[in-house]
Amino acid sequence: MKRKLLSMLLAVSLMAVMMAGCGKNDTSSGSGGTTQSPAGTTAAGTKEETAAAGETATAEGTQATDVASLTFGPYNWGVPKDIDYSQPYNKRFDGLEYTRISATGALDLPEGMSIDDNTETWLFESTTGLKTKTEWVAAAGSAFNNKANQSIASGEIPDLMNVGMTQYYALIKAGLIADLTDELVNGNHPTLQKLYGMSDNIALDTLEVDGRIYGIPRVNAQFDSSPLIWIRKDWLEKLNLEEPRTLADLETIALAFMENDPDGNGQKDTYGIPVLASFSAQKGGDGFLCDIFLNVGGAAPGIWQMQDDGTVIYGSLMEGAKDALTLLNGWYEKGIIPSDFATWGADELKETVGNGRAGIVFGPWWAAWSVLSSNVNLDTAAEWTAYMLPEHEGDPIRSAAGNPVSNVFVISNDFEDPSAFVYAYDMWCTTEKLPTDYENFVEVNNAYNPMPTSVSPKAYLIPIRTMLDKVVGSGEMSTMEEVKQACLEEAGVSLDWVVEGAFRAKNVYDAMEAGEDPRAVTVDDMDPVATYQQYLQWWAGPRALAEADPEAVMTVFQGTTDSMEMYNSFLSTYETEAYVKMIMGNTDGQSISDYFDAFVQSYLEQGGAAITAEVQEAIGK
Amino acid sequence: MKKKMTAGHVIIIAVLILLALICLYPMWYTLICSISDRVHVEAGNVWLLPKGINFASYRRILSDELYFSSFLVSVKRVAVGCTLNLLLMILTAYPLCLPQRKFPAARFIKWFFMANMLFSGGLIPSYVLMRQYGLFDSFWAMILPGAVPLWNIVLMVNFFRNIPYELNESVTIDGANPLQILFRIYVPLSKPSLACMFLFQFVGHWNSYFDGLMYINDRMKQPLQTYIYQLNVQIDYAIMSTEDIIALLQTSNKTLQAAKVFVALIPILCIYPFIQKYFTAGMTMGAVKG
Repeated sequence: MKRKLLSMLLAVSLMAVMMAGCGKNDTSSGSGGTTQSPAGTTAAGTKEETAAAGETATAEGTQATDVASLTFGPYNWGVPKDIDYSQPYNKRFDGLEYTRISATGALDLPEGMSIDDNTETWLFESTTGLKTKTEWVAAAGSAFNNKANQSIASGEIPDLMNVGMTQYYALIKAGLIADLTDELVNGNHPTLQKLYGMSDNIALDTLEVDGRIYGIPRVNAQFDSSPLIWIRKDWLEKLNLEEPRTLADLETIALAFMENDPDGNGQKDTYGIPVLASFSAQKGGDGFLCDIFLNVGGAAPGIWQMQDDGTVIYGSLMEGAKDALTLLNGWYEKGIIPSDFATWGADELKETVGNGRAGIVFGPWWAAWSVLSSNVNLDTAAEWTAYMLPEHEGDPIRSAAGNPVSNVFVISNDFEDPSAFVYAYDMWCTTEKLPTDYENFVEVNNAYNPMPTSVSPKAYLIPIRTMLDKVVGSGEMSTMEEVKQACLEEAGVSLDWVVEGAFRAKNVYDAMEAGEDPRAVTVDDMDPVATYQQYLQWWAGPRALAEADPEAVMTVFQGTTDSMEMYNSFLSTYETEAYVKMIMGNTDGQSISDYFDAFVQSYLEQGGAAITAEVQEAIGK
Repeated sequence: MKKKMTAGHVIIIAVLILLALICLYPMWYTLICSISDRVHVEAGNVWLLPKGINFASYRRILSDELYFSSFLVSVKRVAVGCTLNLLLMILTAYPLCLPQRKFPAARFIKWFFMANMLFSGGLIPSYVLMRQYGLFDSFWAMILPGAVPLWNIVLMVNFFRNIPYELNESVTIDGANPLQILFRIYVPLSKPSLACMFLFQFVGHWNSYFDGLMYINDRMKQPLQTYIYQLNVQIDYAIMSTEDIIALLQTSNKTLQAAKVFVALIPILCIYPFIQKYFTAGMTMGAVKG
């Protein structure tokens, strides 16, 4: 009987393992960090939500009101602010139906809303006149990409698609999407032209293929995921350490955090600076190292840079990388970087920080929702503060600004009037999108937005700077309206959602200035943890960015070339391995400098040279 | 019957227990994750015992319409799919198991099947084909493409060959027609292997998610594994916009995912113990040719 039981047990568990393996549904394999979102903070991250929610509704999150009690038509909100769109396009597009696909598979909608019938689509229709019909929904990531690539390959695409650069090129090659050049360049689209002009039309240039533009680029705010240095302030105070002003200070702090038992448990179990083997300056993220390369030696790993002589170079191959690698190697030898960092993923990083075993970590300005979230939730004594990487030998601070184009809206050739979307997007980016009666307004996740808006490149810098100078500093402004107006004037487009976040965060800042416990503050109906996360996101992070005012480093070429498709999967692995080896000092007895030279040589020989030539040609167009 | 425990036994038992633990742990981990507080799960504090026990995730599943609809689709798919697969498999395997002289075309058909097993049209042609057939968003898109399980037919042919052909001849003399021979003689004699085939197909249908993702646009019609596949969202900093990332970070919930995965395990856990006794019998039967 016992034997039978055991064999049954074995068989059952084997089966289950098989199941988990086959279905690819094991929960632990996700590479991205996951975060808790306390009720009532859904509005924190995404701008339309916050803008739409206004002050009062924000705190209540998505469960705020009963949708059934609202009347949403005839539409009476979303009238553009200062540009008269009443004629002729608003009328012309009224009720024009288009199809799209949506990557919202993993999200929930409030009761009573559906994918084609929710706050975002209502607002979009009321603003632009275009009526949304969704062909299918899948979860963002591989599920969505598989399905989207499938429909591109089979030649059947929806009217509106939101794609990345690779898909953009594939669609052009297949001749499936409409040419929008004339409309974008010569049409009357004041907001779009203003937005693109702010970064010298680099977004439009990026999309150019043989002189034509086939999509509407969406630009992001700069530095939207620059890796700031987040430091446990309570640990700094406990160990009587100064704020870091140089990289040497940072090293001192890291060593102190390792040696001097900042968590007070009597054991030497804390890390210095846990990082990930992620170097690309295309975009930052939790544990990314790109800003160290940008500032120490000036290499720009993972992106394309223009040299003084007019030739392009792949940033990972730049001579300056040696300096940063030597610095990181020094950190590694001293144990500041964990010995097994190359095997770490975002989850491990979050766990380490979450358990209070690290007091320094690289993370974006919204790290309160990613790498810091567990820690902020579990340890109510933890206080964090953000710094930009300190300047190195007097050079200006540089930071990864992100890609010029975050994604591209493309319109199917089959759609009757492709230019409608250019007008629609212009209106959409202009509009305040605030319903007249927004106290009863139920906001939904921004991912439901048919065409997420482009924002000002300086979106996160202007409001916080205004707050620091005019509200906290000189005191010449006090109300939210004044600040909103000032930011609108400076940025050219509305930054209201950022201002609202900053005003929420200011409560915590005021408490800190008054010497009170910042972890005890509550704003609206949020609990103290959520309030503190708001503070970190809207004040601590942006403040570090605004005070350092870094120089933006961007790629000069965002597309893909034929050789890239052929060699990149190999080359990117090769590059990461070489970098990791140099940081670990595992260089076959050579100096880092010699090893790096050999790496560059071999990288170019194995396809790097061909890619560089193609990029040079593409830029020289 | 009491046997003496030798050192060998102890080692074997220890190894088996260890293996059992290795196999059980993922399930245990999923279970404790699903009933723990999500903050603790994300901080990596949960690995042996649940922390902050609560059943909020299961309460949420109970109110998730989509989860239930996909669960029902999966059940329906398994029921219809397995039945059709078994039926077509039996009907195809029987003629192929007959001696060459009885069915000369068998050789060609076997090669035809073999070619189809080795080469397929690929993803995109299949996708286009399904659309041309008008099977998009249809339940049958998940059933028909794999309705004739070629690999299992090869196994089944070998099972049938183990049954002495003399039996077939003697029943023929008694006046049975081919259908009677198949369903009165062959099928009852190969019950263990059929149970095994059923299990293969059950697991195959229950676990498959890709066809549901590709061919079904209406989420209410997608099977459970397609639904679960989409719970685990990967964050790619290079291509996702910040807003997307924040939105994902705020909505992803390991605890809830674990609960959903665990509920999806239950049907297999229920069925497996009853069929597993046929499993080894069925597997080895075809291996020895008569």
